[in-house]
Amino acid sequence: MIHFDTVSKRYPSGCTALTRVSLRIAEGEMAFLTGRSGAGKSTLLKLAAMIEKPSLGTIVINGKNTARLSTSQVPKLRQQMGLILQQPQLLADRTVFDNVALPLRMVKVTAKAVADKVHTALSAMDLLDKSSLLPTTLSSGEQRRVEIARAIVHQPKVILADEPTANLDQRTAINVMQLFSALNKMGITILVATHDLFLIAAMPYRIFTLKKGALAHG
Amino acid sequence: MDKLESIHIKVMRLYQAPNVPRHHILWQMLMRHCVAIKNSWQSLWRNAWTTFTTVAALGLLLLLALLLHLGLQSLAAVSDNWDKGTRITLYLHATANAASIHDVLAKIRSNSNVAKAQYISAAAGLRELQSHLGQSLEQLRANPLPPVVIVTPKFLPDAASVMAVLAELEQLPAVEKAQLDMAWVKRLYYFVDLGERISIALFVIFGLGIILSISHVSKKTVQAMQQETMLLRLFGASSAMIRLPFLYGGMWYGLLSGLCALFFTQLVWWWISSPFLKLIHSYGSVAWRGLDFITGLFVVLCSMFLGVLGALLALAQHQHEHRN
Repeated sequence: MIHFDTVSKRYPSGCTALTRVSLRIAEGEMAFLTGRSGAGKSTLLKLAAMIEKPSLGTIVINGKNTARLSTSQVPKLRQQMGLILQQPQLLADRTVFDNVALPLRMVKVTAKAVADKVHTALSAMDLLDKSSLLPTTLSSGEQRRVEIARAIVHQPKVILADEPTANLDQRTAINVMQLFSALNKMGITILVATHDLFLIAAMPYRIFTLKKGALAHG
Repeated sequence: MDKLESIHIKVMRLYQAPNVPRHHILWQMLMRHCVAIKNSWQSLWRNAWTTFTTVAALGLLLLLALLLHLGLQSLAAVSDNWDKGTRITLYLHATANAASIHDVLAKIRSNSNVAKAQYISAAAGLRELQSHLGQSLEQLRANPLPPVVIVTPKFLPDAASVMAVLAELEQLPAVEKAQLDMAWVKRLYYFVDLGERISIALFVIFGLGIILSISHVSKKTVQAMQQETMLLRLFGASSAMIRLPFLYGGMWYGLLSGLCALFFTQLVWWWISSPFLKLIHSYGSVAWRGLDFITGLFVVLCSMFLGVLGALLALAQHQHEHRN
């Protein structure tokens, strides 16, 4: 469950990214976050991922108030999340396999289980044959899919995706959305930030629209 | 639709994959450390040339400290031998009779700081002198030499103790003069004392040098792995977990530098051992075998500890910079 209660975010530079945003995404729900560039979508996801701290308001993730979490509790909550960042963040000197296996370092799994999980995640992204390659040899669309595989490999309860279909062709973008749908059917809470309204128009999920940092529709 | 079903099946497989049973917390910690050790080693291996040059430079730094330590050790061995050879010459009054000489000898030999006392009469002294100078002394009308007692003190820890024994012996009734090359003994003790202090100061300076060098290298590693660190943090790695590979990295640097220093020391020892042993044998010192196992182990453990300190310093600095 993701709950924002009158959350505002003002950066030290004086720029206000979010103004009194309140939204509630129930456990097992999938929702989209839309808005123009600079509307505050990425900031909202960063706040949900505890990368940033809110200036005002309360954020509750999986029943836990993020402001009241101790330093040791934050990593535990993050282990339940799958993150897809707006800027591609793949380690250039590691293979696709190693990149996808990264979140499993925090989960106590054997090497065989790691291999199984990574191969399954890569298979879901149609990247099984690329597992031994370096990310730099992949197209930007393939790199994006590697990031998505990395976000789901550790079976997170919550997935936060920032423009996951950026750089993807229409067909792959639809596949990614179908993947999110499939994950959601298994009870995973998903919040996807996107500006691709055509892609999400036909999907039966709630849409929150941000306009200049405030919630305009949702 | 087939595609959606296929994705659904794959996702289900992923989520239904059995999680590994929870091991005992100690086992988990052990595994975490093993992984951190492996990762830190791999990180060093990925930058093999940088690692090699850093380790070699730190090894040379340690070598200087080690050579100084070994030099002092050998000097101590030689000076110990010189200590054993320290003699006090007691010149007795030329008029001292046999009874008073007997008394004074008894008093000297009963002194707890005296190891040995040898009496040389005036006649014996002249005979010995004649054996060196030949017939030239026959023209002397009387024996000019006084009776002498050569005193060998027991091992004394410092010059002040030797001085105290000398003063004590000088007070004896039949003794006219007590002689000892105190300046030489003092110089020796001062030299050893100075050497020890320089050695400690250099150990501290070299230790700081090692900490700073490893800190610098660790900081470079932390900066190079910033993206990985950021991703690990995002996926739920705790600060301790993120720190661990860097600390082990510092430990590896320390360990390799220590081993490198031992290797260099053996190399230097192989090169200088022959003339060096001849030199210390000429001073009558016992054979000295170079670096022993305990010292070697101590050096390696110390350098590992300094390496971890260096890595800690780098992490603290990095954390401070990013907090600001």
